[in-house]
Amino acid sequence: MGTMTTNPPAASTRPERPVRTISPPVDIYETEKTYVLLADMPGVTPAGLEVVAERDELIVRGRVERPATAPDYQEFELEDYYRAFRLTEDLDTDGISAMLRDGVLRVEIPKSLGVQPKKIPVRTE
Amino acid sequence: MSIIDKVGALLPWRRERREPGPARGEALALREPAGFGLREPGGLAFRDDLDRWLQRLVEEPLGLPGFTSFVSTPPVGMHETDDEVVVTVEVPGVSRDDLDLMIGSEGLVIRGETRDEREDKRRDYRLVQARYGSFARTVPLPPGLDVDHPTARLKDGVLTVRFPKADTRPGMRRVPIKH
Repeated sequence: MGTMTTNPPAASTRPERPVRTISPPVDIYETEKTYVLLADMPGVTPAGLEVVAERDELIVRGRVERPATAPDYQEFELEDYYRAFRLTEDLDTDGISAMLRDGVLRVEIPKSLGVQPKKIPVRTE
Repeated sequence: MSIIDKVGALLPWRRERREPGPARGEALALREPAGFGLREPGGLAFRDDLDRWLQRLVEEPLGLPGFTSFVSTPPVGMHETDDEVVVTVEVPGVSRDDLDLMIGSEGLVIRGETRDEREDKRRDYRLVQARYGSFARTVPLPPGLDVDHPTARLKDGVLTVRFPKADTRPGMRRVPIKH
């Protein structure tokens, strides 16, 4: 069971979905050995970020600090981020790693060894 | 281990995109915070300027002239306190070196580029929702600000530019009164 978080939740605490959240835009790409997920979460600090892999779920949550002064004009929403993904069993949840830089979360999920391509050596006679 | 459909291997439950902000040109609710503009003499005039400025911000053509349509415009927010006007811009994935800020007659000009791994289009993408590449935005500034002394900060993908309010309005000078 892979649980990876910057703010470890109490054991057996399943993250609840907050009432009002933003689903961050996400890019996902596949490499030979991993899946890489990039999520735009501007305004989230490393302390406010939570990435949890539990069973077949990957949950991403980010807390956003709201300024004390109400905005006079705003084209973006200042709400917490939340997004959940389903992970298939061919992914290695124990090997998940995450990084936050400039408001972009990068999660790398290795494929299980069984599904990584194996190069088969060819012998010559 | 059986062969698994790769597209389905990492399936987002929710595919809805992030809710966009108000559509451009759409009338924005310009809320009147309680007590706003009534704190000091001349405050009301500033409020009027601010409203006009916000109207311009909404109506302003996107980006910069001469830029092609693939230049995106980052979302902007603004709030006013007793002694400053604060402009915030969401620029996730942009480092300080890739961000350029200028103040000209047209206002605050923000230009930049996201230069992360997304640029590599050869990758095997399964889902693409984020914007990347070049962006530009011009934020007209209301009068009454000290545009010579702004402070800018880039943190966690959010750019914050603070303009202190000027003692006097541009083009005006205080006249000393002799005894």
